[in-house]
Amino acid sequence: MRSEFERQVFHIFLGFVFILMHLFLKREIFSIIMAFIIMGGLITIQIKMCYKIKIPYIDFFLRMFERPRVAPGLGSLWYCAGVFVTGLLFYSFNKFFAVVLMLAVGDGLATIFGIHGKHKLPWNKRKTFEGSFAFFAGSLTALIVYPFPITFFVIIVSTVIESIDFKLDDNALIPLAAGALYFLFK
Amino acid sequence: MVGKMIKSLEFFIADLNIPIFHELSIFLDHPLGLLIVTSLLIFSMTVLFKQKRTVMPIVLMSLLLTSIFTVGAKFVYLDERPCISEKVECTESYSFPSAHSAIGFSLLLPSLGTPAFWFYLIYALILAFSRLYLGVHTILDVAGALGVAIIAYTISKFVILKIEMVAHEIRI
Repeated sequence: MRSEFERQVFHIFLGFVFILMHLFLKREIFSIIMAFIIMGGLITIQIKMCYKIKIPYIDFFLRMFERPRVAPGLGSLWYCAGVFVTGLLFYSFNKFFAVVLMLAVGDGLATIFGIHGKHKLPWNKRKTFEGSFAFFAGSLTALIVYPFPITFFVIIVSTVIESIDFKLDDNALIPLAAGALYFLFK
Repeated sequence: MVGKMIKSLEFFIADLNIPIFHELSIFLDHPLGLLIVTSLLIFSMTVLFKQKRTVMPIVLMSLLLTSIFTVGAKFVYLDERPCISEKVECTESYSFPSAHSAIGFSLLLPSLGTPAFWFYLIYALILAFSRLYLGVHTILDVAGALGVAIIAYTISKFVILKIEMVAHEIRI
């Protein structure tokens, strides 16, 4: 069983892999490849959920990425889906880069620091002030690639959204919220 | 280079001629054909799914949002239709994302984790492939349809689960 720290380092690393893929392959090919990855992911999750079959390499990936006692692969699938939708939404690479940085660095740091936090949020007892601050600080990296006031606004809104318990995976929620804001205020 | 390979694949699929699949594609291309098959599949969910009280509203809302988002996205992205085959008359509407494929994927996502998944997967793949076969969509349009279906499903699941939670609290 992997520690949460290792899992989140992998979470951040994977974000940069997707950013490099988008940079070199461009939006069209990147989106098509991601669609195939998601379809493959759906089939894998279905096999794991219904038949409990061991799949080499995929099981290694799931051990790296997934928390114990959750449906196998769903977190990874939401992560890929979030990146995929962000890639589809924007022609601009920088906006994609900014959203994936919030998802990878912001969310990754939020978990790493959040689990050691001592000050619980009044509106969500499962999350801490330390985690939310780490998300905000990590997401500020998005300002390097898209240095406009809208990015700062998106980071603040994403920090608030990430802190609320919406009963939805953060990996889907953050790119959807950040992507929608960029899209609406373009 | 990969871009050229994808374009060649789109032309190759559009040039295919498979008699039974041809008829099926033309049937599904027609709005009435799509409506009949989709309605039958939604109806079959009431039989196949155990948690139908939760799943059915999610499916219906997801289909509604998918339709709205695909129409909206077509007018935002303004992508011209490829029209690389003469199997059907190419309409003048925009191409990205494929509404037909999005409907197939919208039915597929809620079925994850149930034995019915394979059934809806085949339908979604047939629908998606038929759009490429008829030459009225590109592979990116079909990929975009999956993206739209994911957004619609996520929002629908969020809204329906919230409504159920509130309803549950009111009952208590």
